[in-house]
Amino acid sequence: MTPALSVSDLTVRYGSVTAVRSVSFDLRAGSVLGLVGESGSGKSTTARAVVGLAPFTGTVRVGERDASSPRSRDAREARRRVQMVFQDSRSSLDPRFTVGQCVAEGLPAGERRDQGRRVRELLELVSLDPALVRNRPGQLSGGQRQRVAIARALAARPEVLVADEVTASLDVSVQAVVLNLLRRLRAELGLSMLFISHNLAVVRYMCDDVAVMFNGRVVEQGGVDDILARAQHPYTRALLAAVPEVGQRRLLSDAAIEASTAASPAPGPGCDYRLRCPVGPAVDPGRAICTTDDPGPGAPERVHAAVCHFASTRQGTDALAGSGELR
Amino acid sequence: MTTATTLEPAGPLPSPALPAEPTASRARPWIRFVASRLLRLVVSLLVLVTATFVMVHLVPGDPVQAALGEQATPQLVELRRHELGLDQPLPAQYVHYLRGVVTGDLGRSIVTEAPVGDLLGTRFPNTLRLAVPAFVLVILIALPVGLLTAVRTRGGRGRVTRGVFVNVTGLFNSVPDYVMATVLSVVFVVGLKLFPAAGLTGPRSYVLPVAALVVGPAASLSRIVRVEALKVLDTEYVRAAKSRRLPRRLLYLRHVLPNMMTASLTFGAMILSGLVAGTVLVENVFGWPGVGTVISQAVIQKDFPLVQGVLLVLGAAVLLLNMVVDVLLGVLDPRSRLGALR
Repeated sequence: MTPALSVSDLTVRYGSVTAVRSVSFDLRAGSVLGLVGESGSGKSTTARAVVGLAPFTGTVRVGERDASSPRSRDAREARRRVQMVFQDSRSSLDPRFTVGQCVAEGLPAGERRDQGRRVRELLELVSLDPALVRNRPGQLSGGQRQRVAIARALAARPEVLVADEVTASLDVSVQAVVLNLLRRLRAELGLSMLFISHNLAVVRYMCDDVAVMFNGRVVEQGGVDDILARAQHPYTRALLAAVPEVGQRRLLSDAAIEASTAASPAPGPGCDYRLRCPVGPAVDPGRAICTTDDPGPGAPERVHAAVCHFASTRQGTDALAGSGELR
Repeated sequence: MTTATTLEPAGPLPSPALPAEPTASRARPWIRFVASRLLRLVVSLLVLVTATFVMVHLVPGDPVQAALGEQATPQLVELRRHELGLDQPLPAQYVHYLRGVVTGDLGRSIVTEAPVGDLLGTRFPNTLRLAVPAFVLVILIALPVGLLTAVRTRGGRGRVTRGVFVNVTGLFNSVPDYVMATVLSVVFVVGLKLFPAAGLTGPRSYVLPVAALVVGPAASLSRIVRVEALKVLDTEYVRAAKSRRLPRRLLYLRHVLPNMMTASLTFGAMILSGLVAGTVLVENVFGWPGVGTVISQAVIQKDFPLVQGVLLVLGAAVLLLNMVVDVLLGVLDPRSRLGALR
């Protein structure tokens, strides 16, 4: 089956800064793919490139259509099928528009005639009182506003929803409401979703697959349970260890966590993560390969396509044999 | 406050489908908003009237002596002072003046004895003939120019465009309007002989005074418009609209223009108020028969009723302009209307 969204070799450069480097992933139709990583890892830039807000090289395909060349008819139709919900609904809704106007603007040109009815339907779909149409975003709560933003995105009848940290600006109790809404919409409408978050608990709840990003690159991807249970890349392990969870065994020592927060991405050849890596050359002088060779090229042969010289390979030979020393 | 009560619906609305509450509360803020702005205008006008009165009496020198000449006998001066009511105590003079302003009697010129009101009646329309086209032109130039340069220079793009724009508007902005008027006059009247030098003699005589008035304010307003538009272009809701493939024309008309209007109009009102002062200077350079030439003569001759009259009219024009902008902001920006009530 054709993936709902297929990204390959996506690269985004801003001047001399490369924000996203050669990112590839497939979003299976009807599934939710999580993009996780720390701030500045390139997850939001990837999302923006996918909806055409950032200039990129590489290919983005929506279903059968190529969305890479911005002016073609194919790309325009492809873009309608991908709609984005932004992190902060306070700023992503025009403060002058009423709720009704916000949602109506998302409607495709053909449905403008029946606007009032469609807007009410959409508001009901996201469990909002249709009487709110005359209100302005400033009069709504954060959760209500985010639901308006979701209704606006759904107005275009998308196949793929890009959700960029949609719950990051909400209270915990409201987060649950929005997350459950997204899960319900996915089931009801058969939506595929690219779900961006730095919260692994939320990702576990929402996603089928996960791609972990570090320094503009996907360093590991796979099924969500598999990644969470058998993380291959030391960066993924550090992310997991950073989640405080009741009853969970600690994966890293305090010293290792401290090291992981110390330095920014390493310059020059070798692995980007080597300065922060709790099992890398900073700790283990024997791992010289991390400072000389880019772990990228061998990734397809490794489990989870991990961008790490010491990740397990698909053949089953466990290069991280001494994984016990991590604990 | 009486208007607020009479315009309100008397009882619950007849239609049960529409609850009475939201309709009534939607109409009421409007009335309260306009009423509060009107009240503010009245208070400002009172301050203006008082200020013109006090200002003239604070200016050193005896206007009567100056009007009658150095040779006038003390008895004559005393007689004239009595005729003008200047021998009365200040509070009494103030009450008299206030009563005059309210009834439309602005007194008579000390020098020519002509009623100030009549003089303003013939001269002020000429000033408006300069100021109104200048206002309109400033806005018609500044909005599109500022918006277009903002679009061309957004996100650090168009370095050259930005450089040219900033330098040209900076130059125009820093040239005072009377210098601009003089330069225009030298180049186009003395040099190229394209336009008449002075006076109101036909359509061609408007060109240079209006141009001298427009250039500076248009330059500074277009800079403000550009900065405000850049801010809006960088917001998340504009980005969200772009991600929805909203056509550019609609994006600018629906999202960018309305959202930059609040700040642009507020600054614009200040700039346009300055334009009123500009007319005084520009009128003098081009010998325009408006109130600007009147006031400069009146000041030299210490013809204080005339000075008061002109200041009053110009000041009232500025206040009125500001109120119109305030109400306009209320129409354009629902938030400022709500904010006024809190």
